[in-house]
Amino acid sequence: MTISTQFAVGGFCTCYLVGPDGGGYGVLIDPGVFNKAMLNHIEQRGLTPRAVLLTHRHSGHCAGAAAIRKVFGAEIHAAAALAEAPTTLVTGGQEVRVGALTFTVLATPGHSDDSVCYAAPPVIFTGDTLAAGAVGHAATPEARAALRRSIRERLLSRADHEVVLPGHGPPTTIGVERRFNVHLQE
Amino acid sequence: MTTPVPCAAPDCRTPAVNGEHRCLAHVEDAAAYRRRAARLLAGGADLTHLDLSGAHLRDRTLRDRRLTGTRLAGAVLERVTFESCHMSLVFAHDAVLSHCRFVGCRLSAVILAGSDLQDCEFDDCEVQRCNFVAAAISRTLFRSCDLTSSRFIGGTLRQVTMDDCNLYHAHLELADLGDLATPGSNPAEAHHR
Repeated sequence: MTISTQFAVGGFCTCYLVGPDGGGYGVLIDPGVFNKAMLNHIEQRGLTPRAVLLTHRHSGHCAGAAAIRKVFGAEIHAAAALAEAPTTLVTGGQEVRVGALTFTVLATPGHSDDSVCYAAPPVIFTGDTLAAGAVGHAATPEARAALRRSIRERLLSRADHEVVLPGHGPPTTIGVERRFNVHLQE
Repeated sequence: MTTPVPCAAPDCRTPAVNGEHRCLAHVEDAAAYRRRAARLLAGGADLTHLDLSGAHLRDRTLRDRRLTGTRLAGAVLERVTFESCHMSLVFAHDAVLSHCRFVGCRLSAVILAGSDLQDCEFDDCEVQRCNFVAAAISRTLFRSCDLTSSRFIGGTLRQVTMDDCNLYHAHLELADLGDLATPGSNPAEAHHR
């Protein structure tokens, strides 16, 4: 599996292009933008996006999804429907298969009600739920509690070596976050 | 970046290491693997997915080498110079780097969380999306480096200079910044708390 990154100017969100080694059908995770640079990025890697996986519907993470659907016919997957494009709804525990790739949906509400992560071991795409040294913003005490529960039950329960690829900033690992993320210390 | 395949041992999902179908804990002869890793390091080979966790490297120069998915967790590097190296998704958490130099290197998504950097120098390097969370960095110079989106959250920076560096979207939060100096850089474009 190869993974490359592209950035949306708004909020500097990270979009991941995932595909099998050697090219073929690919997946875009959180395309916050679709422009010429993104198109070149996709073409240079010999991948044809067949699916868009959204971790949540904040614009920096999903604003390019509808255009990618139009251009490539990619199916959009999210936990809540986009207003601007048909969406295949996903729920926790479900598997999304695209060519040779399989992603397991992890329901992780807290940053937003529709937040999910996608696990494709040894990597997990965490959107705004968990990042290096940080956790997502949560608007209310209830949301903060839900976020902490999501991270504890769905993410920190995973193996130390699993690589966290967040919606913002550098990658990290589950083991590193368990030890060093000050927001996760009880 | 290319993700490693999981270890072929039953019930083990740890990434397999370079040239093997198993992780370091499950290769048939770990000592032989370490000898082979040392040979690869000494030669000019691609170091992709090589597991050098816990290794002690000193007084060596790596020039024009590619380190992708390389594991240096807990490694000790003394007086190691990296010249024109490409490092991507390197796992160097809990490493100790002393008197190391990075010159004209491209570091992307390098995980140095919890590491200890002393008397190091990064000169004319891309250091983008690197993870320095909880790292203790002292007497270290970043000169003409692009630190875009790198994170120094929760660590300590003592006698650290970021000279003529791009700090766009870098995170300098919850950190003990000591006497961090940023001449010619753009700290206003970094995140502070």
